[in-house]
Amino acid sequence: MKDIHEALERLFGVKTRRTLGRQSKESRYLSQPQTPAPQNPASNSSGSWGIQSDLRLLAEIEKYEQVAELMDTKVQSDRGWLKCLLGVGAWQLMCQPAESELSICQQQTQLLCARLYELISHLALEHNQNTATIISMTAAFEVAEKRKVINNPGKIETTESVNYLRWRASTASWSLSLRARAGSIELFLVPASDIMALSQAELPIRLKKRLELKKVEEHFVWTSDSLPVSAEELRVLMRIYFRDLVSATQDQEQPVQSSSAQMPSSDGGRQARSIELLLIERENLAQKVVIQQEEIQKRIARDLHDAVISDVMALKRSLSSDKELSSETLMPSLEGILRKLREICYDLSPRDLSDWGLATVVEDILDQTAQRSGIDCGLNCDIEIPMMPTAVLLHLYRIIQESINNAEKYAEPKRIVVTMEMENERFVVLVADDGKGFDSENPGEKSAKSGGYGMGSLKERADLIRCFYPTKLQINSSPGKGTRVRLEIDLPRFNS
Amino acid sequence: MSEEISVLILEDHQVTLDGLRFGLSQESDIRVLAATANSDEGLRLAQELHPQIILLDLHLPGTLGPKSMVKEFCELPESKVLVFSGESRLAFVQAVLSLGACGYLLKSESVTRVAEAIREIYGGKQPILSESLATGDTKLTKSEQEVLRMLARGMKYQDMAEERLTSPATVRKQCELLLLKLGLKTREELIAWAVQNGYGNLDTTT
Ligand SMILES: Nc1ncnc2c1ncn2[C@@H]1O[C@H](COP(=O)(O)OP(=O)(O)OP(=O)(O)O)[C@@H](O)[C@H]1O
Ligand SMILES: [Mg+2]
Repeated sequence: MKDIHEALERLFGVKTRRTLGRQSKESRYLSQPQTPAPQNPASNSSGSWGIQSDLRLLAEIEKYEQVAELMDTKVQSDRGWLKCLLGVGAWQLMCQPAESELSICQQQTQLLCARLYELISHLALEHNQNTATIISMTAAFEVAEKRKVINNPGKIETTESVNYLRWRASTASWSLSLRARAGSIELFLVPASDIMALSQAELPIRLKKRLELKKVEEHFVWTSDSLPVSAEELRVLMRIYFRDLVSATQDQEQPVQSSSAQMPSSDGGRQARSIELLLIERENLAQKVVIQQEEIQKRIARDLHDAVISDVMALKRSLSSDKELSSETLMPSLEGILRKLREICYDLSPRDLSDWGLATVVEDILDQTAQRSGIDCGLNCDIEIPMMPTAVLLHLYRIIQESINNAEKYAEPKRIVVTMEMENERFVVLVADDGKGFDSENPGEKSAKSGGYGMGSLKERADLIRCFYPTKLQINSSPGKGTRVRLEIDLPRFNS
Repeated sequence: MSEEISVLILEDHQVTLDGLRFGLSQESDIRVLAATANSDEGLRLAQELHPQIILLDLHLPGTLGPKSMVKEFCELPESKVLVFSGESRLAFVQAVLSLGACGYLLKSESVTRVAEAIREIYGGKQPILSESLATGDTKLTKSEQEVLRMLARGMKYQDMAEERLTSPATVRKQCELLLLKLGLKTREELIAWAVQNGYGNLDTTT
């Protein structure tokens, strides 16, 4: 850590250590998007990259070690997704908020980047089953700076910064690197020894492919050399580039770099640059926290299940075979323990979800609710749940669970119905009850009083799903009319 | 002993495994070929030894999740799968059976019952279920009672689906679950059961 501080101080001329405490506290305040003050154009344009983003940068240093740890681990699909998210989300934050054409470009770019990342992750995962060739997958958001002299009367030197979204799949010696701006995605094959020098590494001769978003009539389409590219073509392209990456690596006689080469070694400039790579925004930290929580819960549940339940079961077996131990009296209490333990497991664990899939798990929530409350609960699901990243499924599951819980707690309904269906490329989940409803237009006052966390978490989780796919959450209720929670997820065409 | 039934055991809880091994070795018509705690190892053993019955725990160490694991084992042509698990929630039991398992026993069952189930499955009977899954513990839900009422009135899946604002496939699934819960085999039996238990009377609404 010491070296990083020194490097930063040298590079930006700011005292990093002193301010770290204060800054990092701010970085924990998760929900307030942090944007550079636009009302003051002077400070916006004149600040160097370092000063402008030092607040953000410093906050990142604290997370540095965690991220470093993540980057160092083998490719795992979930972690991979997480990393991609970190980058995508950070980039999103810099995007135009309005429904401008630029923001559509940015959204489209972001989606395709995530898609391509998913494709590469799958390929890497497949490949790594035999050989551990891919040693790191990273994704990051970067503000690169172009220095320009504008020919204005005062001859003031101004700088223009470009927001890049990047991801990279690296072997010991080569790296397949994606660099994207709104409406343009470039893929490079770069020697690992060069990737610390970001802007120099992505030389035109190393460019493999450039994809550009073009407006054709009213629609945006991705093109390569001005010709539209299909999802299938992209898939094939990614396969080819992946093979190039692997064969380039095999051709390399001595692997010159190891995974740790991506981390700063000695040179200050390099360190600073890799910190650039680690510019990760607070929204993404939230995502990470959620995933970590789920991870921990999973473990606890596993322990409870494996150790406690099995032992109690064994005890129960021996009791039922031995008549002298007045089993009649012990049995009910044992059953009670079992039931309780299961409830704990159930509350804690999304493991069932990864084991059995969304439909079975939702069916089970409904079963339990029906048993407990006597409410008529039903699931309408005649489709195969489409493939989605685990993180998305987890949020979906939690949203459905909370909606059912709320209906059971407040609505006094006759029926609760969960529907999961596809409307073309759109995956729709609906949780509906016919209970007493509430004023969904003005929920603030009431839920603030009741200290409710549930409704907020529905929105939060929908936001997190939005990091992957365009997503819409509607909560529709009015007194006496029942409640409908509807979630729409637009899956890309080549998902199915 | 040409009539011996060969069994492969997959179980990762040592005490349970010891109990099963010992208990089954007492049965003259059952032979335990091998036992393992790991699902990958188990799959390899099954392909090598062709056991007639595979006694399968649901949650095992190995590369496969329970769903894909059960599927793999059920696809082995020479073996029939009897699941032995602590998991008693019906949605999951149903998922397992729909993958092709021939039986599902809860871990609270005695070894004698396990041996009996092995014989029954070997003899071609299926599905074999723990009794508490079939009837005992599980109450019928409101929506199941509603379905029974409609069945008893002689309604078709299509009409039931319309009345319940759902799809015929969903109603069919619900009926399958009811068969499971009530330990019945066919739709006709289910209708008969509904009528016998008074679901045909219009005034049973609760
Ligand atoms: N399906 C529903 N029917 C009727 N009222 C509802 C329904 N869902 C939510 N509400 C109302 O909205 C309020 C806020 O719900 P929310 O889930 O945010 O909080 P909570 O359930 O009270 O607390 P928590 O979810 O943190 O345990 C509830 O107190 C309830 O009055
Ligand atoms: Mg709630």
